[in-house]
Amino acid sequence: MVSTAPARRRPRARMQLTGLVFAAPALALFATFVAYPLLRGLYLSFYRWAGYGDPLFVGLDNYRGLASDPIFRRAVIVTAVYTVASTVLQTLIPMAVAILLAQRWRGGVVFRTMIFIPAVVSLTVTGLLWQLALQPNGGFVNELLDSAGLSSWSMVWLGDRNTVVPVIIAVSLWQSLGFFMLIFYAGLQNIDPTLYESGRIDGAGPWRLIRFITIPMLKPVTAIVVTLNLINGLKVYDLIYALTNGGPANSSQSLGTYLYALAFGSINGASAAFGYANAIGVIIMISAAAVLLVLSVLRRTREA
Amino acid sequence: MGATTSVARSVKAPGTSTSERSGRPSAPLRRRKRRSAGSLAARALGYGVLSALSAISAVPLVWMVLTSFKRRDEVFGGGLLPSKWQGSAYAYIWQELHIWQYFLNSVVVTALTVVAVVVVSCFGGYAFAWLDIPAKRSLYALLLSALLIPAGILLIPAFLELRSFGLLNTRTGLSLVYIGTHVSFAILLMRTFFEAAPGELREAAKIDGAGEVRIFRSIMVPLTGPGIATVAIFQVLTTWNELLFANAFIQSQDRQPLQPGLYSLVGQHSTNWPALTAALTVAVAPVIVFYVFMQRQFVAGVTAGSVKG
Repeated sequence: MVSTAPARRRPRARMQLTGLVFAAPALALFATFVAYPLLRGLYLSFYRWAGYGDPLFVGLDNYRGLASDPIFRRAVIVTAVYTVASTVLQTLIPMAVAILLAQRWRGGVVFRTMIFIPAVVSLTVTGLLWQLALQPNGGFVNELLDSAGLSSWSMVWLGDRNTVVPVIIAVSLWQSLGFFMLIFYAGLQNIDPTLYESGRIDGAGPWRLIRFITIPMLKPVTAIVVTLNLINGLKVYDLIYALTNGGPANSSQSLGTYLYALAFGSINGASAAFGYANAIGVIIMISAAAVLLVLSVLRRTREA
Repeated sequence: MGATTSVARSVKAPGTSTSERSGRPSAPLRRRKRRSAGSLAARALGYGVLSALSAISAVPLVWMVLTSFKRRDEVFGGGLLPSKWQGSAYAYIWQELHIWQYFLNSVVVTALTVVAVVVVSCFGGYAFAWLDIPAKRSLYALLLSALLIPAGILLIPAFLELRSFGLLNTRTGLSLVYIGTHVSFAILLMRTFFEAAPGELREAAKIDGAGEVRIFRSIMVPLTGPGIATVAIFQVLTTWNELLFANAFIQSQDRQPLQPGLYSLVGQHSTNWPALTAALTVAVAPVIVFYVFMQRQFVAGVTAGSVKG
C-alpha cells in the first residue's frame, strides 16, 4: 500500500484495510459472477464447444457463421425494429400521459395506480397472458373485436409473420407504459412551478408552456428513459420467449431468444452451441456499448 | 439525491394547470368561478383518455382473473363472466400441478437474494461513501461497469461456472448469480443514501472513540432505512420476475421458481385455460397486493436509480 506521508503510513494503511474489508464481499461477488464470466464469454466466442470435452479454437468462424445465418439476420432485424419502435413509443406516449396526468384530476391517484399496475407484472406473465388473450379462439382480443362488430379485424395475431413483431411491441408498451410514465411524472414534480408562472405572465398558452418549459425541463429524464429503452430493447428476451418463443418459424426471434435457443433450447439439434451462442452475446454487448457511447457523445456535444 | 423518493411523494400537480385542447389557460381548481365550455370539453376529453388508459391496463388482468373462475368448456365462446364462479382451477393447480412448489422456490430464492444484496450493498455502499479504499475511484468504476453488461453474455459462462461449483440446478446457485449481478446497482443506490447521511454524526462518534464497525452498525445503517427499503423492494421485484437465468440454471421441476415454472405449465396444459390463468393470477397477486399496500416505497423502489437529478 502506497502512502504519501510516511509518518501516517500505519493509520492510513489500517484505514484502507477497513475500507477494503467492507467492500470485499461486493468486489468478490463482482469478480466471480460478472468480471470472470464476461472474460470467459469473450474467450468462448472464439471456440467451438458443446459444453463438454475440449473447446476447439476456431478464430472468427463463429462470427463468420453468424453473418451468413438467416435466423441470426432475422434476429438482428427483429431486435433493431423492436428496439427502435419500443424506444420511440415508450418514450413519447409515457411522456404525454405523464404531462396529462400531472394536470389536476379528480381521482388522479386512482388513474396513476391503475396505469402503473402492469409494470409490476413480470414480462413472463405478461407474455403468457397475452399469448392466451391473443389466441384466435377464446382470446378476448378477437372476442372484443367481434362484439364491436369488427370481426374482419380479428386475426391470428401471433401466428402471422407480418403482425407478430408489431404485436410484441404493443404488448411491451402495455407492460411498460406505467413504469416510464411514472419516471416522467417524478421528473415533472421537480420542475420549478415559478417557471410556469412567469411563462403565463408572458402570455404563453398551455401548448407553449409544454413546448418551451415542460419538454426542455424533462430532458434529463427523457435521456434516462431513452437509454433504458434502448438497452432493454437490445437484450429483449423474456417477453418474446413467453409470447412466441421466437415463432412462427423464427420470424420473431430476437438476439436474446436466439442466443438462449442455441445454448439451451432445441435449435441446431440437441447439441448446445455454446461458442456460437456466446458470439451473439458479444454482439449484444458491443451494440449496447455502442449505443451508450453514441448517447454520451450526443449529450456532450449538445452541452458543449 | 433524494430524487428517487420524490417519485412517490405527493400528487401535487406542477404549475401547468392548463387544460388540454382549450387553447387558453384554465383556472386552477381552487378558483373555479368561471369555466368556459371549451375548457369543460377539454377536461371531459382528459378524463376520457385517462379512463381509457386505465381500462386498457386493467382489462387483460381482469379477464385473466375471470377466466380462472370459469369452467374449462366455458372458456371458448362463452361470455366474459363465468356463468358460475368456481375455484376448482385453483384447487387443481395447487394439488395436481403443485404450484405451491414453484411459489415456495421463488420465495426461497428471493429471500436469499434480497437479504444478501442488502447486507453486501450496505457494507459496500458505506465503504465507497465514507471509507478510505486503495484505488477507490477505479474500483468503483469497475464495479459499476456491471450495469452496462447485458445478461446474455453472462448466461453461458455463469452456467458453466455453477456447473463447476456443483451448484447447477440449485436455488443457492441461482441466488448467487442474482446477488453477483445485482450487487453493483444496489451499491450505487446505497452509496448515495449513505452520502446523504450527516457526516458530523460520524465524526462525533469517532471522537467518542467508536470504531468503524460500531459507527456503521449503530449510526449509519439506521440512518439509511429508506435506502434499504428501496434496494430491498427493487430487488424483490427483479428477483421474483427474473426468467433468463432461472430458466437456464434450474432444470428440476421441484426446484424451479415461478417464472420458468409458469412457462412450462403453459406448454404442458395449453388447453386448460382456467388452470393457466389461475396459475398466472397466483403469480401476480402477491406482487400487486404488495404494490397496492406499499405504493409509496414500492414506486420509489421500482423507479430507483432511474431518476437522479
